[in-house]
Amino acid sequence: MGASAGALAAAGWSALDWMGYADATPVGMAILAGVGSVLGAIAGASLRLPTTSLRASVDRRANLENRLTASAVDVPFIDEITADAERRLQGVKAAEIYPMRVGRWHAGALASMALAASIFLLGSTPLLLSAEAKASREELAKKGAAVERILKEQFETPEAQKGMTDAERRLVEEARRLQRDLEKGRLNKEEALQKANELKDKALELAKQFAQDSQKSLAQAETAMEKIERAELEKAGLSEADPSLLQMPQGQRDELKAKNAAKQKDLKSQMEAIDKKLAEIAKKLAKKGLTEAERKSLEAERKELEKQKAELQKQMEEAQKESKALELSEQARQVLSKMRNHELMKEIRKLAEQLAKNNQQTARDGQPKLTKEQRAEMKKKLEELLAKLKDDKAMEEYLKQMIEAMKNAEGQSEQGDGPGQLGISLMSLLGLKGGMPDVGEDGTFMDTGHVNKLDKPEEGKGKTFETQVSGARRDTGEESFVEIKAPTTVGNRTSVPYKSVLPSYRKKAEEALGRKEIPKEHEKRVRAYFESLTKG
Amino acid sequence: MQEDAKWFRERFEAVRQEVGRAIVGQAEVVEGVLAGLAANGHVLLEGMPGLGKTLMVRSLSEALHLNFSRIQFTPDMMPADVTGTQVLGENRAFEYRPGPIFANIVLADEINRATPKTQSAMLEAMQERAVTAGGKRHVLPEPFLVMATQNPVEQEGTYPLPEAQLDRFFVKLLVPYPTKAELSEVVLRTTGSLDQAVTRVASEEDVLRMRGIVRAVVVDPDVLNFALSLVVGTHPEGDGATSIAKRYARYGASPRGAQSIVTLAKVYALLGERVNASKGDVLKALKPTLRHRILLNFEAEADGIAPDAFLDSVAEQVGKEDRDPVRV
Repeated sequence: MGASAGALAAAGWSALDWMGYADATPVGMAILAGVGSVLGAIAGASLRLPTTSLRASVDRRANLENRLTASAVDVPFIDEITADAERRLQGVKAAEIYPMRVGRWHAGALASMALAASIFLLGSTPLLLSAEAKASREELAKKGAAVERILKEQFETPEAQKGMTDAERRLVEEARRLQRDLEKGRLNKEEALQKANELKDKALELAKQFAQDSQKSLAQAETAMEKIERAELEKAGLSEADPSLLQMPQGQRDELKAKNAAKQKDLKSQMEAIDKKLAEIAKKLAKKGLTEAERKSLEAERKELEKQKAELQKQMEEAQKESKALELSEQARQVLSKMRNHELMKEIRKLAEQLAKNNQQTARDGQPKLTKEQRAEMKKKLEELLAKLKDDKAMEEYLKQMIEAMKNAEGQSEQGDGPGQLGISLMSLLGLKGGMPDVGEDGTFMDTGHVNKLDKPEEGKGKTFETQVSGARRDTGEESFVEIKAPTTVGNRTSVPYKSVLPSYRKKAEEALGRKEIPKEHEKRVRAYFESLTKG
Repeated sequence: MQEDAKWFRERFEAVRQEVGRAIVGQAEVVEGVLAGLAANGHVLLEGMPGLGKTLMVRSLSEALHLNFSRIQFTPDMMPADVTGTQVLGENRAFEYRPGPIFANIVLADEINRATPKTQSAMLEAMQERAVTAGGKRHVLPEPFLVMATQNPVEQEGTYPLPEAQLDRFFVKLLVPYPTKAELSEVVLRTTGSLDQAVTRVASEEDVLRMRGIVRAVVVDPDVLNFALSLVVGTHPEGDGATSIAKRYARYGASPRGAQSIVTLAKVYALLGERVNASKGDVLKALKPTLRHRILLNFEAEADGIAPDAFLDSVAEQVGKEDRDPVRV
């Protein structure tokens, strides 16, 4: 019974495999049937048969004519009946009365196994296909094998599995499913392209997500660096240095300094002129014979001049203050410059810059700028630096953030090429090209070339339109993909009004623009997009 | 008990052989009659006239050294002709004169020719094993065995025994027509000069002891359940009713049928060198004990279903349900 149940489960599994809902393997099916048999055997061995039933069975099989069952009856001559039964049992062998024979359940198990094998073979065999379909299936199967090779070599090694995120695991699992579907011929070419396209989008999206995470870590590293610099300035007694003046370019600073000097000079001369006038007024007031009106006029003039002088004095103090701040910032700059020009810091800065560029490119088109080897080299250097600067707590924190950013950029362990690379590999294997499509404001593809629509749009389920598209949209040659236009699956209404999320999205876009994450040629388009939304 | 069983077998075989000296063939009938005797039950024989029924009874009584009487039933026979009557004696007082029923073995020949009144008196005496006359009860001798015969051919002027009366017979045996070889032997024996005298091989006490041994035979619950399933299976209604009974039976076997099948199975067990009854014994006892206890409906008659065929079907159906509890 256990074998039958196991074999039936295997048959069900292979049926699901045929329908495309599961992935049955011959070994797995054999294991399932085997497990069923073993469980059945265990259950059979552990279930105890009542003694009365056993007596009745042996009686029947050994043709004892109810001697055994009668031996259980309480009568005065029970010993005689028992002896009679034992005498008859002496020549009886268990193997003779319970021979191994093919019963209904055995036959059922064998039939179920045959059924499972038949369903599996029928589902896998291309016997019923046309020559063209066979060739297509063979081609897809080869591509499936190639996908499997990539997955095994880059994403399913123990090292790669270590530290892989859940999102990556899901992606690899989907790629594995695609590979199985390809190898088992469950997909035609169009469906394979469509699935690969979907997977590619997910892969690129994931790669971008990783790049963004890395960028966040980098921003945190920058904060850590600012702390280091602040500490350095405090150590030099320059903690009051104005941060805005520190960030100011040297030319602008020199200009500001010159302006300040000129202003001070001008103020000084103005104040001297006022002092001279005040001295003259004082002399005139000291003379006798002044009328009351003249005296009042001189007093008023003196008050006005004193007021002007106080104003100038105030401006002079501000200019002097600015001059002092400039001087302080100059000193601070010199301190920071000295620190930044240190060999180790230069090296760290260079790494941070490289990583930021890598993140920008990954966020743009899903493909990292740095190769796997370069990333490994960078990480090694960071770890070496961390070892060197482990006594400096601030530097340690900074470097740890950098390493974190590095990990985020990879999105998985250092052994793999990242999800973006998986998407690119899938596309190239299935005849697609990498990169994100550049869509214009009117929804058409940008770049050179033209799009040849092979099929007319067909209405699918609901209001979904699927179009097989082939053509050249870049100068990288012919490519093909399936374009799907479908309504949102969320429902007729979006769950959040766009106006409530627009400010935060806009802010994020502006931040991205500020960080130069958006390629220069697309900056204008991003701004135009958000402006159009705000107008609406 | 094993020794008792052995003695039973030997005695039974001895009587059978002795009767067999006089009767050619009819082994099953002889065995059935002897089984009835051992089980303390009356036997109904059904067969053509001239098949040696009277000779069998006589031979049996001679082999057992028992009293024997034969009653040829006719429509004008009165109950007193069977049970006995009160006559005015020499001392001017009524005294009871026992009828032919006062014998150890009584052959009630063509019992269906008697009127129901006479039949009833006969069957009542069979059941009660006593006769009441003139307000006095007269006990019949032990062992007491009635062998009644029915002629299945002539129906005119007969009074077939009602089902309730048939139920009083322990078994009903069908006496077959002899084969050609058997017939040849019969002719040679009865037309030649060779005297086939039957000698005494058992006694009255032996018969009573045999009855005690039969009662001691063990019937285990499994066998009893099987026997009762067969009996219940003859009923058209109830939980254990078989499909054939639902279709063809009007009434099933009575509780007395269940008693009979188990008792006869015990006899067969002893003959099979066992002190316990088996399902095989029960099956063997099925037709003799139940064939006269079931009443089939018109549909069975229309379809030509005889009681024996009906019981075979019941046995088959009950047997199918009685499966081996170990299925390997």
